[in-house]
Amino acid sequence: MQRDQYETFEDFVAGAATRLLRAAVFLVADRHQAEDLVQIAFERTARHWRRVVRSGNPEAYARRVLVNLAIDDTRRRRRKPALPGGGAHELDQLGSAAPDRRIADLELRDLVERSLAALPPRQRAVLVLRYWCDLTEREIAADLGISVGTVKSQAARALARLHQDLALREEAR
Amino acid sequence: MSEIEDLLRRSFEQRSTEIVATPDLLDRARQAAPTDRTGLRRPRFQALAAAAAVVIVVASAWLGIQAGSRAGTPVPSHAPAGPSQPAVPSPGPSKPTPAVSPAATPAISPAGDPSARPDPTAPVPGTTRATSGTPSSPTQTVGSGQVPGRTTGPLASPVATHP
Repeated sequence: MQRDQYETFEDFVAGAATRLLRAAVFLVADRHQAEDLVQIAFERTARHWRRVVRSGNPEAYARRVLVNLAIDDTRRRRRKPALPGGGAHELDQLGSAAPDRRIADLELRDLVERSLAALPPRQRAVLVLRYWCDLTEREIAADLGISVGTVKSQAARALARLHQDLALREEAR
Repeated sequence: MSEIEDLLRRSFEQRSTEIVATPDLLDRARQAAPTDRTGLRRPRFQALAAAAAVVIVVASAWLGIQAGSRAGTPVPSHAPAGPSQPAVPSPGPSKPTPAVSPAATPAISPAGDPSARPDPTAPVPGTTRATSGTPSSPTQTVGSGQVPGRTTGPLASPVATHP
């Protein structure tokens, strides 16, 4: 991630909103929930705006807030009784919205997203930060407040589970 | 494992093209900002103002108590009135003044009232009144030679040496 310099908070919102929203959707697999989390992350960033600007990377600060919010939110929602469709609500919408596009890539993508949504929140966060935000293991560890070793182990477990899940789904089709 | 990683990256890339922040989200985020363009942090200023108010209240209460205790010092009803009764002990060289003018001091005043409050500005026994020679002065006994250690000496009791 590049170090961003924003003149004002409004500039920051305009420049970072889409990137943060994308990460949020990958983290919680729900567009509306993702928008709410992004807004909360912006609020918290604005509350400490001077200090955040002085740190030199407001987007990293907001992303850190967002990831931790998403992990907490996913854990909270998992404790509640599962709704029909579960955490893959947004992904279900995507699947039903494109019934005619029977492209292999789309189906595979759908499978990947479903498998991703089924992962524990921290493992999912590690994968999103690693393969979407392109963060290093050290940066991920700093964002999540865990050690680099834990990042490695969580990533390995998540990828193994994803691999297994995709293989099972492929066999079932 | 790299196959899965590639798959993940491709999946994220494709999916991300469908996710764009709406103007509504941008507006909400801008409006939700508690700090304005000056970057002032209102919660901090509120906390500072509250702390300052508490300090002012405590300080004024303390000053009020102090002033009240000074103003409310009980003055003896039978004490001789006049400028010779200092209301506040005056520090410094003016302290031994009452010893110079015994009539002004209630303790040794001719109109001496036993209920009169002892003068707080009275000189410390053994310092100034030792020269006054007052029999009732506690320094009189000290000046009579009853120093510890001298009572056992041969000169401690002159009555015993003279027949």
